[in-house]
Amino acid sequence: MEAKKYHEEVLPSSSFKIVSEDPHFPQGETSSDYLQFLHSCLAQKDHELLQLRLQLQKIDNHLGWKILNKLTPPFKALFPPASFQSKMLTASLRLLKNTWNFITSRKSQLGNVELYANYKNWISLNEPDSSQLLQQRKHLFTYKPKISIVTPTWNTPTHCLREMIDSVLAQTYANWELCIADGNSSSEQTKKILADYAREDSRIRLVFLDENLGIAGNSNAALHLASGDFITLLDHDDTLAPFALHEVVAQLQQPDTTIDILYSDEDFINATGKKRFSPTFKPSFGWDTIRSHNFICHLLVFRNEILKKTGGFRKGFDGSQDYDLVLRACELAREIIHIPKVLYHWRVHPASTAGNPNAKNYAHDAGRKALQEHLDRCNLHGQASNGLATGLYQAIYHRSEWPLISIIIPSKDQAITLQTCIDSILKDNYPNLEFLILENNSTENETFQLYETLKQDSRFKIINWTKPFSYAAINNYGAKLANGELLLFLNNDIESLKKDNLFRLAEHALRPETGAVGAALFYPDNTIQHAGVVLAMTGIAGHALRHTPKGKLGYGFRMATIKNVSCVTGACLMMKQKTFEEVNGFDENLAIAFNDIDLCLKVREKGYTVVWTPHAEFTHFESKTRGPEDTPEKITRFQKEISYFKSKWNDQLLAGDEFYSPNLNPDSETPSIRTTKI
Amino acid sequence: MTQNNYQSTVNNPESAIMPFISVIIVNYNGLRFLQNCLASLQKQNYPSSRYEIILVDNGSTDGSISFIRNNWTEVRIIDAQKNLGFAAGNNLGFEYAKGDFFALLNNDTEVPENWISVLVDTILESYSIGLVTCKILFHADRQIINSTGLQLLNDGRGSDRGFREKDLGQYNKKEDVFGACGASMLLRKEMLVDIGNFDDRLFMYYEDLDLAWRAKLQNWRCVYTPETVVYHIHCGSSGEWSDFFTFHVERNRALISIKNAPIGMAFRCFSIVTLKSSIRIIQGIVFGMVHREKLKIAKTYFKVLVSLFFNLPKFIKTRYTIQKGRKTSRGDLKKWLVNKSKSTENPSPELRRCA
Repeated sequence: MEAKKYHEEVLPSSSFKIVSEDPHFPQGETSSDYLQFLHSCLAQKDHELLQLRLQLQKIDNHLGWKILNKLTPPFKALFPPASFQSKMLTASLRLLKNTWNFITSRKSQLGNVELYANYKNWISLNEPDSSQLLQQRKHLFTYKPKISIVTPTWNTPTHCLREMIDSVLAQTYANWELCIADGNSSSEQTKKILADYAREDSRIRLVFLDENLGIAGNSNAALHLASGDFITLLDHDDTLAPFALHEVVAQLQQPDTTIDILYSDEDFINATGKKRFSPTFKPSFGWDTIRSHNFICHLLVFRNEILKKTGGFRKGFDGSQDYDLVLRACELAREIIHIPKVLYHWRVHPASTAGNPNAKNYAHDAGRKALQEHLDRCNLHGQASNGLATGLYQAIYHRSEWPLISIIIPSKDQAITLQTCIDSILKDNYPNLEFLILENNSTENETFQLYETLKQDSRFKIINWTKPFSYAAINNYGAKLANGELLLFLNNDIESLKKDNLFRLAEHALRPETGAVGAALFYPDNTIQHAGVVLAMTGIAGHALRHTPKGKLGYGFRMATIKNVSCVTGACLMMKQKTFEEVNGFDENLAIAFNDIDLCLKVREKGYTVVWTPHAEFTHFESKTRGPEDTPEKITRFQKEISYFKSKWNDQLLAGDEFYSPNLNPDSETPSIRTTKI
Repeated sequence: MTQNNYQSTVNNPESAIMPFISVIIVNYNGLRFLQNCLASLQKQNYPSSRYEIILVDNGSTDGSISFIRNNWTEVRIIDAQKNLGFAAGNNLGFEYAKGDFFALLNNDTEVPENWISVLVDTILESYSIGLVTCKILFHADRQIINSTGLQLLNDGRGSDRGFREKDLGQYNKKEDVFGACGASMLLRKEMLVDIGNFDDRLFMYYEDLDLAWRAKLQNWRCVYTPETVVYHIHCGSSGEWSDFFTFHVERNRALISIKNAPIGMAFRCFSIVTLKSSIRIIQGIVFGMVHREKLKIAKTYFKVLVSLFFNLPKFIKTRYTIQKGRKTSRGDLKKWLVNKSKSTENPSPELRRCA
């Protein structure tokens, strides 16, 4: 009864709204069809309304709600809204929440990771069993390079040393040599074991140094022994997978291969060497990633000439000598390859996890020094600075002059949202800005009032776009009218969280090799929305790490480091005007969906890189403007765009994402181990 | 899979091009020194097309401007018309300078012919270097050191490294120092864009320490090089320990700590200055009748106290911005702090300017 009454009141305005709001309605249909469509819409709405009203009634009758209602007036009297008391209350609550977050975050710095449950399963699915290993032993390669394994030892526990050498002896590929330099171990047993092994197998070459030269010196002494075509590093207590060298050589079979450096995934083993856990599945090589942290680690294989050119390890980088070497070697390398297989097992000692905090800081400083020298060698005008945690860095590219940025914001109504967005951007210290607001069929009065006030500032341009909304076309139009060297495509429901956001985006966008730059976007509840888009995830493209709380580092430090990614979202995307023109802008066949993914893929096709930076932070109040994709019209269009995209980028979708390991499950946005065979 | 290769950029031809340098001199009634200073600047072995000389005149009354207009046509003059002080004078110079690097020089100095080239070579060594300073000796006695860079004492004062020591080669090593003495330094323009110009609210004294401190917080290195030597006439002693000097040094020392120091140190410096001022004021009131001098000191310290409290809110606000954006950890400052007892009472900046 009640519902019916409400229905009569609402009917006229509701029906008008549908007509006016839906310009896509099939025009050619007869009027009776149209009426039928309206009636069906109305019935649907009625049903929804009834449901909602029932829900409301339930809430009204609830005891908790009644109590809360009684408590509200005295609470409001004590803490009037926007008063000093209420501000203090919210501040103290926030403090409590942050403290709690801080305490709980100690447990897992990485955030949402579901990696450890299925690792055993993954091993049995993806790693060769004994019969396959036997086959590998019989396999004849056409190119059989000699691989030198370089190991410095010093007072190694005997069982670790034995396991290490045994793992090398168990290799299915035979043409290797193990070069050991012992830094004058005080334990006689270590020396004896080494000598025994060397006597048994002639491929083990051994040198006893007169004194301990430190990790860098001992490694260099071992490097001197190496005569192979390729050289790899193995720490004295770690082990290799039996098929490690086989996999490496398999990658080198192309004649005239230009591969100079190979690296693989790794995992940890416990002190007894029985249990394997915490695999690190790495992305492909990217310069911005390696400039943020040493993600390469082990197993790392160099071509001998490259290593000889670098001159081996250097003194003065204790704790980060490998980072220094990797940077110098990568500068010289022609091609760097990632092998997505776990070839190296890193032993975790109970003692080493506790560690000396000072040693960690020294290593961090040494790493920063190594990065700074790399930036200077490459003449990149970059400053090596600390990252968001110990062991992470960021390269800051300062400039003496910052060019004009044209900020392109499509806007329809939602005056308050737009106002928040613009105000937050204006707080930025960036000196040189221009706003292009693309007005698209707004109806509300406040919106036009806002435009009037904005127009008084010469930096603002209001541009009318009367055609139906198409994200691609509207932004292309805006880019044409922009004067800036840089373009920033921004949604109107975004709020800037830091005062140097635009600098942090522009410094990357201005580098000649960068095509597009994306920022860290957070949901209003402080979980991440965008930390780089992964191609072929959950269908066409997904946001990896979505809903990981802010402040976590993410799997593989993905939330805390500047990195190369396949694509970034168009909600906040900066690029050079020149590059935008070079790739002909957004593809207008993709009116709403995936045009940003398409743009990034086009940019990468031209040889530019796509960079994501965590140092530019924004809040994204997702999709307030457009509403959900629910009308039949919208769904049809969406399907059409998906099929268009699939046909255009078929190869890329099949190959999967370069910067997201194939060992990770592509069906889940939370990093988790793949449960199917690759 | 990357073909991104930096072999070619390692020997980038761009680096072979000499950067353009703007030499900025702030002058206030320094006519008697200018001839000597400019003559030594003209003899640089750096190509003259790659550097410019800018003279910011703080409203001199001794005819400095007309002297330069008549004799040194290549020097660009910026007439500030009034005494802006060292900080604002240089900031004005930065606005007009076209160079990639700014070299600051006092007007009462004499530079050797390799001055610019050594400073530029040093700053080009690494992009992380934002400031370069060199050895500064006294003009009168060329064995005695004026400054080999600034150091920070743990009570928030700054001092010149090696001040009034005999130069026996103890500072002949190129090394990182806390800050650069304003008498002769080379600045990277990108660094100034990053950390901002001199703080002109300080008016005079300690602004170079403040700049160095802010640079340190943003990870910029400051390097001292002994390969070139500047001779400093050091006439400014006329103002040493005058009221004007005491007022600015005492107040600014507290203010820059409030801006830049870790919270404990900032609080300590602030308390030291307020306590010291209070004691001096009480002394002045008690013994003022007997010793006229004490009353005068009390008056100066009263001014310090008042000015400090009026400036406090502004500087706390600046502190918030600086500390939010800082890129070094709190512990990093420790290695730069020098124990107060080890250093004699030699606040650096008084020697620099001929007031």
